[in-house]
Amino acid sequence: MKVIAAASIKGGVGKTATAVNLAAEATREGVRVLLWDLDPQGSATYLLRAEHHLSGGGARGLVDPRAELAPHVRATSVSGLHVLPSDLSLRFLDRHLDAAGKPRRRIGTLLSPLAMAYDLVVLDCPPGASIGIESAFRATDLVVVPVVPTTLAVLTLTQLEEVVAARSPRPVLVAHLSMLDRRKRLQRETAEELRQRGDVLRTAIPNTTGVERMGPERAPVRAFAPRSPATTAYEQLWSEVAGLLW
Amino acid sequence: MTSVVFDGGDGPVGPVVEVLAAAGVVLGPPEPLHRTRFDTFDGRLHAAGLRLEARTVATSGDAGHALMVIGNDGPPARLFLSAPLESSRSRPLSLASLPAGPLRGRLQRAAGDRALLAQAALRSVRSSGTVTDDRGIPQAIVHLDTDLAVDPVMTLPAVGLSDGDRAPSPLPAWTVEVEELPGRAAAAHRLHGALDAALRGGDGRAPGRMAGDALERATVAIGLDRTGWRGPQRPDLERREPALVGVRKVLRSFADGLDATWDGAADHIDDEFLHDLRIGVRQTRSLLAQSRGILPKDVRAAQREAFRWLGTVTSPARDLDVYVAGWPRLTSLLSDAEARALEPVLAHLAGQQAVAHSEVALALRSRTARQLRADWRAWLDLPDSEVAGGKHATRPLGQAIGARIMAAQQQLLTHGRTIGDGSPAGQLHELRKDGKRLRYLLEAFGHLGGRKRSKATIGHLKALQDNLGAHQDAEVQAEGLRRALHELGEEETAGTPGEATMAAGQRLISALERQQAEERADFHDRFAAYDQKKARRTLEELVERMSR
Repeated sequence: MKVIAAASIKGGVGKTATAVNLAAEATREGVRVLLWDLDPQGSATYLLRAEHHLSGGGARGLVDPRAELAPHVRATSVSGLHVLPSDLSLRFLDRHLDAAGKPRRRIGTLLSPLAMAYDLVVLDCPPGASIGIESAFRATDLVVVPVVPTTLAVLTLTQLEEVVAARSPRPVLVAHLSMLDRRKRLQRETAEELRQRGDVLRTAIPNTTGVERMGPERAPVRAFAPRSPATTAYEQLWSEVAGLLW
Repeated sequence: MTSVVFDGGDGPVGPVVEVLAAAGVVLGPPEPLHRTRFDTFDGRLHAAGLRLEARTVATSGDAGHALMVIGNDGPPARLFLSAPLESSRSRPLSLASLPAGPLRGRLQRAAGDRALLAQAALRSVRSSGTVTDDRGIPQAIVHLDTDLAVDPVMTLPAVGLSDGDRAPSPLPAWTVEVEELPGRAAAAHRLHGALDAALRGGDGRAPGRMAGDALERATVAIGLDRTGWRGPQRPDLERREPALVGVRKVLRSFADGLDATWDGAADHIDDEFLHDLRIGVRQTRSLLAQSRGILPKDVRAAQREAFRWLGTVTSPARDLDVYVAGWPRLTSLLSDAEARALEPVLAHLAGQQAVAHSEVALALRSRTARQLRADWRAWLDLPDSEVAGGKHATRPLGQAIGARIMAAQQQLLTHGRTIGDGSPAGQLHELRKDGKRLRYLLEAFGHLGGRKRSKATIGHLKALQDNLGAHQDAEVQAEGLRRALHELGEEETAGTPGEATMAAGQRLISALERQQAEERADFHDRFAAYDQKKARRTLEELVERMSR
């Protein structure tokens, strides 16, 4: 079982869209996927039509040393894709991880019994660089960072690289361009600069209505716009990510 | 993920549609669906808890063709394909044509070196729907299949795969499959209850249901044994029945094994078909050889000759199969660069392998082979009362075979005790043949003297045979390599092998010679262990019990 984390210190860069669409594209390739929504906002949970609720004590019950993840797993509207939903109690995840002991190992420990059932776990991380994020990174093979080609977003990429570099074992970190608006010159230039770096994937996700419509459609972009540029872009992005995993 | 399929028998579909509508299931438009089930001949996917299925939906815009792997845990894996999978009886599904990734990896791990064969194909018209709660959250998935029809099965003869305990039955007029979703067992169970109640017959009988789906239901209907081929059924033998009767029973079970693997070996579907066929041939030859005075003289002589021919024509292909399949393990004795330098040798052997298999195909489909099978089966199917055996034919089976087991054991011990450090390698090879003769007798008849003793005796013998086998394999592989290098040098078109190839070949030959020497050094200990009084006594007790 491989684990990837869609993460960024900055919010609103397209982490959830990356997590949900990569997970959906992976299922088309015969990969059994579990998406774990670690973000208390529960956007991925909502998009995949699962209930924004964690039974059995919420986040505290979820990370309890005797807890199992399997009973919390739910089906989604995408065949072959399961979700571990979020709820608001996840805003206290760091505190509960701390209380459970060995907080930085906890997410990996919780995931290990699922290794036979899933080929891939996609972690949709909340913004920031908390203990929960560090715990996620410790379990992760590949951190995928969506970066909007703006100066501030590039700055937070560098900050996240520092967080990852301090980890042992250190997951591989790659970025991809997100919400790219080719009409904006500054974005085009920043995108070109980013592409010179070795850790930025070739695929850029365009800023299109297709991605925005995921909210009202409550589905990955392919489900309602299979021939859109956004679907093609996520398909290519998955292809690049899969090449790094297998 | 669990699914339950309800069986509509020959009843109308209307009531079930009403039940589903009442349960809030909105079925989608009906779509023609074609599904093909794949597994290895020996059911390795089934044993691993997996089901592999190719699907084609005729009228779906985006999801035309897909390959599905359904397991007992986790969600089903679905690989979308741009074209339907090409597969036929002689052309199994090629895993190499699938993209690298976890799906291919899982199938490879489960199937090992066996080919994935189309076993059953089902056509139906499917309508699917999702049961959701009032927030639109999925609770269960339902599939209604109508117009079910089994396609002509593209598989091997039913002799290997039919479930003898279950006669084929007609397909139901329709099936309803309820897919349970994780964390939503209650919703699925409510639906099961509603279907159970609504579909109960006038006599109060519950509707037919089984774990699985419409395709699994169809495989049961056609009588496909999902556990796959497990070798010929062991016949029921009696210690005191006439030797001729017992020996013919065993020969019939060997013939069943030959029938099951014959076509797969001729088509070279995978290496194991020929391997299994040759085991059947060797077992038959060995028992024919051991049945002097039991079987009629003329039948025994004619069949020994016929099976000798069958053994001879299939031998080179099997040797090359072993060589080519074992190449990665063989070249692991070398560095990567040396292994690469030997690639022309592998290509040469693979070429020879292809030719050898064409010869096997010709031989197994020849008039001689057809006649051999027909004559042999005709004789085996004769009533025992119409077969006049040799002078030991009416002797109790246990006594007659027990005496032959003791004779085979004596021959093995006598030959083994004469082997010294200076004995030629050929003498060990002959000893291995002695061991095989004894082993085949024990495997076929040993249980007449008690299963535990028989197992222990075979275990003792196997430890010796493993040593002799490894010794012989190293010799054959080294000799094969010398020959291949020589042949490569002789081929005008290919030119002479390069220096690196020759040097790597010599290194591998030396490594094999060292291996052979190590096995040889082990031989005396292994033989001494076999020749221990306690081990000999176990076999004597076995024969004593057989002969009572």
